[in-house]
Amino acid sequence: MTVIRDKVEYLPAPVSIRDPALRRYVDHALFGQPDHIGAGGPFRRPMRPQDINQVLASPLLTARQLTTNAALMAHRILTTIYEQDLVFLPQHRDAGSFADFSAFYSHELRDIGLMCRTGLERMTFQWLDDEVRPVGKWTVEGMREFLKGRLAEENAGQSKVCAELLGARDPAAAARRFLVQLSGDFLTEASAMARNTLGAYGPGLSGLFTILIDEYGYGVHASKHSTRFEDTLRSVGLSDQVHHYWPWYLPTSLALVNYFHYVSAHHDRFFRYIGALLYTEGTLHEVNRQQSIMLKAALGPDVDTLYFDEHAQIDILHSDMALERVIMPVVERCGPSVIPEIVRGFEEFAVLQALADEDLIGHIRWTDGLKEMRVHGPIVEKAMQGPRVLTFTESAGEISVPHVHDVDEMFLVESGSLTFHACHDAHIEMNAGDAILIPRGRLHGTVITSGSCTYRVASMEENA
Amino acid sequence: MIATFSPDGHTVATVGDDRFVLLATPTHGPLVVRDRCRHRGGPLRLGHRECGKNKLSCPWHGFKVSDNALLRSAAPAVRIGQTVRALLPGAPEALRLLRMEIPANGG
Repeated sequence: MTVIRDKVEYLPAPVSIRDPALRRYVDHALFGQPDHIGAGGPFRRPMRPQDINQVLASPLLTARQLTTNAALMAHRILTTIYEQDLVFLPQHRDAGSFADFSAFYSHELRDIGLMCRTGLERMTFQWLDDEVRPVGKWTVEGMREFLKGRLAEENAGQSKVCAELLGARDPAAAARRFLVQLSGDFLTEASAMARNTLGAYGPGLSGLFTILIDEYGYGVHASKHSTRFEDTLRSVGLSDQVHHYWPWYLPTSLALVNYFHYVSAHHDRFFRYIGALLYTEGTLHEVNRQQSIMLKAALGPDVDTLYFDEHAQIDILHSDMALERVIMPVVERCGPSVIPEIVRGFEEFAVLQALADEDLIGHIRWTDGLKEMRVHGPIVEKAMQGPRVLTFTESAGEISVPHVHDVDEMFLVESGSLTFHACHDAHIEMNAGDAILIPRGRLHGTVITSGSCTYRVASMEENA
Repeated sequence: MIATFSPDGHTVATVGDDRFVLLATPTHGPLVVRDRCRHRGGPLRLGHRECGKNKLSCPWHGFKVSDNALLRSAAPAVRIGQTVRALLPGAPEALRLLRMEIPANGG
């Protein structure tokens, strides 16, 4: 058969400072200043449009830059663009909720988003093309042995995240913050998977569809996996609404969601998708087993862990199904030339998951030890004498939407007062003279609580 | 079985009488190949490259092995950053991982 190697001479431009579409997208009222610092939902997604230049000026990210503010903003935008393909309905029966719904799905906003999508994907995921590279001659038997061996490696030992949570000063709060990070994915679980169940590719499609309908509880709403996760959230006093905790998602939590949309929205990456699918289905049963134990230990007997307990059992089946009923029929149909892409998808998601776990551990430490980050004395004075000090004066109620910094920063309140937030339930009150050290990559936002407040932020560049 | 190699970790694996080595190729990046020249079986890890060349010279007879040929004979593997996870033949209990300098990699 003739091999066609021709490619259309089109390379989507990287996100650039000249890109007016991206600016127009984030300037939409749905994504602007919120009413309160924790505001979020399926339609209103605060994004800090004032930071858009950081994204526009950003080069393609590397593995080390996944926790920068540009990465956070790019992933917030990308999640939103992908999720304009999903269906969310107005949350309330009032006209305002319907207006939000209509605005979110407006043709104009969707079209602008689609113009930006490829550039944002290159910015956030192209590094994986270099980071993960399969080589050598792969056979079907070799692929099966490799994937099973890798799953056994990944499933060995104790989850570092679970160990960190149980070792926190306040394990219950840490566990809730962990659930908040999961909620960005689990409440819309398997939506990206559904993108791969249209079309015609033989028995592999039917295998994938079986996994999908299992995730969707075979049409019994109470059994839908996302419904089970809603039960978990409510059982520990958390909201079960989609993206209620939007401002508090870490960039790496969003990256996990976006990766599945990325490889599912572009079908030339289908083989990577099924590799990544095997990674998640093949590791979740062990991870969820450990998470269930951790949640009970941290939150007590009232936490509803059925979601985790069910996955601990069912994902053993899903792991076999992903390998035997999706991957193997697809390889049988397409031949061994697709194997490197399958292996690549498996390893790409493994890399992302490891980085997300590391970021989550950093977040847990930051929020758990927030009060310890207060500093005073000469270290503050020295920082404020540095070359990169910015001064801000804001008025009562003004909100700084949660964000991160790319270097360690010293934050000093000069006059007035504010509330400093590190996540949905961790905050400290700061008055004139109070200072805090904010490590790079750690999420935070502020709300001014006095008539006026002046604060100074010093970059600790040498720590970058 | 899966064996994990990296420049600052394990660079050589033996499986029975077979020896596999992590070679850094300028053209294709790190590859895991049999440490055996296809000419007369010389140890490729002890070979050398002329600066900027994409061919490795076997230390026994100077047989030149191109990077493309190394790629064709490489074990199926995935490179993740500087780490290479390779699928090697044989039983896991026969695997020995070693940390050795690889002169062919220039150091």
